[in-house]
Amino acid sequence: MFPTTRRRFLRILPGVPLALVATAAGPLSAGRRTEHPDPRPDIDASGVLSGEDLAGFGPDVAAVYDLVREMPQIADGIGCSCGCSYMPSYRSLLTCFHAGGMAMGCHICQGTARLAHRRWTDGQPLERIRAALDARYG
Amino acid sequence: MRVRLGGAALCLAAALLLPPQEGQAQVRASEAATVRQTVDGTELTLEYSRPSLRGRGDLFGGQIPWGLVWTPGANQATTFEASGDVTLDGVSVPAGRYSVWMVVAEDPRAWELVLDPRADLYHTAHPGPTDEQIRLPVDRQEAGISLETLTWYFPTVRATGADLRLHWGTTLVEVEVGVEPTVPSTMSREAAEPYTGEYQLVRLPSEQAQARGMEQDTTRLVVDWEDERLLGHWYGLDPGNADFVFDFVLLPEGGGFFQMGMLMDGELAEVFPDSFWEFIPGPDDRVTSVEVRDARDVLGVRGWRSEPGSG
Repeated sequence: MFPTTRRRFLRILPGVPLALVATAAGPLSAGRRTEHPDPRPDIDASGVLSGEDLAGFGPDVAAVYDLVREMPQIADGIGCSCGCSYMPSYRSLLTCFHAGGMAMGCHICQGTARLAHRRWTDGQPLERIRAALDARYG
Repeated sequence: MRVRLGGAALCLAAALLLPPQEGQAQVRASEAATVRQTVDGTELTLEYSRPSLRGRGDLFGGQIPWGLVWTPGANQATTFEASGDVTLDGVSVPAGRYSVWMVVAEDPRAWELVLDPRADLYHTAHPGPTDEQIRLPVDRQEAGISLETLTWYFPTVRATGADLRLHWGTTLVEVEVGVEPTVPSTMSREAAEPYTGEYQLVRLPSEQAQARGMEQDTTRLVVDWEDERLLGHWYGLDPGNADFVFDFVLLPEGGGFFQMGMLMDGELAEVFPDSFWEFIPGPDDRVTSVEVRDARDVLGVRGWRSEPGSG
């Protein structure tokens, strides 16, 4: 058995270099318990950015916006633990993906949306999705 | 004459109170200093002024008489601030800012460290005991080298705390600071049981990694419970070295999510919060698969439980 070194550790996972970028950009969460809003019954995805609004951010980012577009009623019932929640236009994870939100450059918004979408496609109800997000990002 | 003396005294007092002008000497006999250390997100800060020996050989028991409640510094009392709850030698210290005092005693094992919540005291305040103070016994040790100027420092930093040391002349006083861990590193055997076993893992290289020639590969993970911790032993990561095993600790976040911690000499040395492990249960609540994702929830590794020796 060989000793574990930090450099060796960092080589291990394909996702680690990206993770370190996220660490340099700031803490994973805003450091307080996330509150989840009640989803608005008539909410739709019309405010979610698309196309030219996301030009230059790459296909991975556009794909996350597409996931949110599929589940506006779920995204509107989820609080985001990132810095978006301090912005005046913020209401829920859904608004992080609207104009004025910062999801295109925020790993927390994107990770929250991807995890929520995975759980939603598994058929989990909003409460269980929130519980998973609280464990991971809350 | 009395009037002229009073005026001179007034001028002197005013000069002392006015802020120094640019270019004006600001030399202090005991210069101000700050030492700051972060441990697992908790910030520990000492602010103090640093007196020097200047030939004084009879510090303790002489210049600083036995029994004195002395601030280990000069001018304003030394302060200790913790951004979160901590322990000092196991004694609970709530987050906050305190003035720091020591009761110096002839018996080196009878010294006492005193934290007083009245942080802004002058060094001559010598506070008596109060219910609000935090007091703990400390040992005065003899250092191998003499330091001319009083120094506070953290000679050792760990994942769970740090040693805080005062050193002046040949006198050393050290206390162990413990911080609240942001993520627990221990699990009970019962809580760990659903996760233990062997898994076959497939690493899915990112586009960048593929561009560097990395291909999808299959490796083996053994998860077991040792010393109250859930440990991962990852085999086959280095194709050029079949003996290489990557050992790490899984730090529970709840809900089947775990952060990954690096071990050095068996101790937790660093946590990488932006890659996480997700253990996924089957119908009987026993974990059947596992995934490793980055902060954006992008999949990097996928695995399935296997029977021991099958891979």
